[in-house]
Amino acid sequence: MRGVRYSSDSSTPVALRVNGKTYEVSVKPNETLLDVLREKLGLTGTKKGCDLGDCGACTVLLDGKPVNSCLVLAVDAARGEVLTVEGLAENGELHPLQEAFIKYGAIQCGYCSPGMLMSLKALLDREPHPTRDQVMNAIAGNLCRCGGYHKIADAALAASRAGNRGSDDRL
Amino acid sequence: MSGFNVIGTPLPRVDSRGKATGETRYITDLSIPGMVHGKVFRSTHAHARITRVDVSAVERMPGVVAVVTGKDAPYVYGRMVQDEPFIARDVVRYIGEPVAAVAAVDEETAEAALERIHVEYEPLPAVFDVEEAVRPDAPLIHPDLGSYHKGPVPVPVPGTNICSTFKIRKGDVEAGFAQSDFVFEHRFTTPAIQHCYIEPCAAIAQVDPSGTLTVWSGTQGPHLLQQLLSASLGIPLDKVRVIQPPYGGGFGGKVPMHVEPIAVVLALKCRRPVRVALNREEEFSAATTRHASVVTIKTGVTRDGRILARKVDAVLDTGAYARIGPLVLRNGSIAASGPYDIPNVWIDGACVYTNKVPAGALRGFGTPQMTWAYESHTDMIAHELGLDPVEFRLKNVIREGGENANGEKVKYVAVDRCIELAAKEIGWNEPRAASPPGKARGRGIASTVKACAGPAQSIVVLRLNRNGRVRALVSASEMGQGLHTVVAHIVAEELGLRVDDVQVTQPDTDFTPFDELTTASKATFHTGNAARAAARDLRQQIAAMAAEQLGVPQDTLRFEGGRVLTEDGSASIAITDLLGKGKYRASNELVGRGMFTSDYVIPLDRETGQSEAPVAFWMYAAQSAEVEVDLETGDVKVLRMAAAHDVGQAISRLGCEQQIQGGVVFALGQSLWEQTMFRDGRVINPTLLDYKIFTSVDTPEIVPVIVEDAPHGLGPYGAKGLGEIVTTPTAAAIANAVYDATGVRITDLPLTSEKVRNALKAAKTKTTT
Repeated sequence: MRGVRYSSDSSTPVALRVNGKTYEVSVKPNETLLDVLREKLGLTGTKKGCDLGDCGACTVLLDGKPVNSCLVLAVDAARGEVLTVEGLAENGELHPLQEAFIKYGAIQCGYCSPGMLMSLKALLDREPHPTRDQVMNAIAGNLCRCGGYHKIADAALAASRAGNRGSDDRL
Repeated sequence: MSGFNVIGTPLPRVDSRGKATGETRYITDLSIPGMVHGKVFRSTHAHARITRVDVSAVERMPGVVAVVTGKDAPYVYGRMVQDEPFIARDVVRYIGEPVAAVAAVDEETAEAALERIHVEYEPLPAVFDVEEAVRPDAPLIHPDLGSYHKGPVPVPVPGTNICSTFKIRKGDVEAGFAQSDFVFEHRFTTPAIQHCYIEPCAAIAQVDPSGTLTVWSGTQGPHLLQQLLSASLGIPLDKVRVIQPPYGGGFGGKVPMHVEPIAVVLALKCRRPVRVALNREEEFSAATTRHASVVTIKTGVTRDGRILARKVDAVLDTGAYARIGPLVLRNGSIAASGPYDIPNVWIDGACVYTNKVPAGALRGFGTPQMTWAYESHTDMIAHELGLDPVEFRLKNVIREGGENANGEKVKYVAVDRCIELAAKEIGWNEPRAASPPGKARGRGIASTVKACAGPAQSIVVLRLNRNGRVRALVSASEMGQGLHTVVAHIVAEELGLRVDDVQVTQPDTDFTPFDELTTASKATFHTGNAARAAARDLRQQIAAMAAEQLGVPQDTLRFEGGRVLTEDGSASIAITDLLGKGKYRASNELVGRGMFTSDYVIPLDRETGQSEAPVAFWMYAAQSAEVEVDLETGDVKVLRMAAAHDVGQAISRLGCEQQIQGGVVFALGQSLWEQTMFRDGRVINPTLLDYKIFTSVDTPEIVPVIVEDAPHGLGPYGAKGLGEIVTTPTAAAIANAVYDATGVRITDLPLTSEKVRNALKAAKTKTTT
């Protein structure tokens, strides 16, 4: 059976920056960013699939880089800017990746989708014109048991094209 | 096919927006006021008598609200055989079996409490291998097998470890072998594997002061869960309510009760809502696997390649408890001779208990194991006879009007077409490019047939409100396969609405009508038919109102764009102008009801397996593979797959593509790598790091081919099921391609590089000596 995490009752107040907002929360030294997002901030869009850093369902961006939030301590995340799936849409407008995920059938059970979206957001921010191989590499740490990798790649490439044509273009 | 507005079009899924924004709430995203968290103390023995359970140290721990053992849970369950306790009482039968459970204010406290539970065991002899388990001197895992309550499917052999048997006897198989020019016999095995849905199992149970039990669960069968809990606990059916939120993949693994019994027993004890969520290690070691199998298959053929007789002996390892094993055995064995027209067939199947984590349904109900055997075997025979594997298959394949192993004259069959198209897409008859140095390339094909057994009942209720939108009350379960999108397409088609005008609800046994469970690729066919009937009921009611307004007979009306039109389109009225207006000003809502029951299924003869209507419907497919084998390392790289699937009629074309491409990815991992590894009954690779599934960078090009040549006479618009058969022929197609490339034949899944390398080395030694 899995070992019990180091347990401590000594909670520390931290200021977490998530999706552009500051949250004052009290966290234990062993609490993961994933658990704090889900249990304390109510941001349940980020999913727990293995809690061991193997599946990628909990991927969020920390200072623009994709991380497994189950492997990041909340106290460490307090130094940076966290972006979760809830922060992708702006002013009610879905992010081009979200639009493309819907249109191109990149979503099945949906449990890996938030993590996939965050890994791809990091890719498009870094490389607005990725190749299919680059897309596949960007999500190599995000498991999808429905097996939808091709449609996810189709969607990411479509979102990249939409981005290139300018924000007025509809997908 | 055409003449449809939305059926068969590639529209987006209806459930994707909430999943893209993170708004969709899965089980562990829910929180009930007062909710506590349950964790399970599990057996560390494969087979042992429990002599002492000491939980006294836990009861006093701060933060702990309840601790339960088998004494608190005198309940057994089992849809097939009632052999499984909620929590082990006297005996444990596998490593990982629940022995006690704790509810605490948070998971961390509950986990810490488990460390203070003390259990003593007296070990019993254990058996881990099916072939050892059927020996007369094998330790008995269920000495009381003969006295267990059981359903109609299992045929157990009391006094043995044989949980269930199955047989087919058609023609005279020995006479068929005698008439054959050649008889071939081979043995194939497959390992236990894991579902690996990305969302682990979770449930919340709550007991009201009045005694009503409410369970939120990501279950594939809300109404089945309601029935099982009611029967086990002795609570009336109407006092058990099951609510099923969206969940992240099932693949058959969310049929068994992995978490619900624990949550319920804890909730009964502490009278607070209790959530139990498995961690990933528990998913591997203490949930459900796919049955490992040993299949021996013997075929008699004429010199020119006509199959005269086939005999199959299939043994499935069902682990410590029956669960749905007897049905997996039956539904897999029923087509174990393959999609072929063979005059003499003999099939023996056995489902055998061992001291391992129980096995159950995993996307194919036994069909993947059988297809692996008969399609590898069929290929081996073609090569022995010097016949082209595609031609050999087409010579024997079952066609419209042919007779299957059940003696049924089959209808609506396009497996021949699937084989032709799969071969064409992989370039079967085209010259092949030279293999790179040190590599060998090859092509392979495999066909398959799968039953949707039935009989089963599905009911759908539609509520049309005055803004012209429909809410569909459905208890069939959306687990990612696209069922809600299928229902929305059907309702929109019948009522001339947009797909987006139809909202499909999550199951809630208090409100949504009966649908036993979503398995066996049955929902598009059964629930789809019920949705169509419900939409037609609603359509008639709307037409009656519109006919009066438009002054024309109602049977001449058409439905389009949210309006009801006269035959020539000269006059029309919007649906939103009927409800709540004029004469119908007090009518705010119309309700349509539809039901479908596959009660035309005739039970199989117990001794011969013969029936004129053995199943609700059959599904067919063929897949082809092009592979590249590294001759040094044995690594098999799949370059390209083509998957031709006889869907009858695509309802959601996008959904069909998702299922076909995704199903092949699912099966690729199982073909090449996946196996749940045991040492003395203990799972030794219980993480997604040690048990590797296919990732994006492993995935080859996959060409989905949707075959609509044989619409089913009873399916909605001709549709058949698709969800499981997308995974069943993949492994054999790849193994056949590996043989084509290298001349090496692997008969034990998975096709690991180690196995292929050893076989290559052995073959080389053979040719040089």
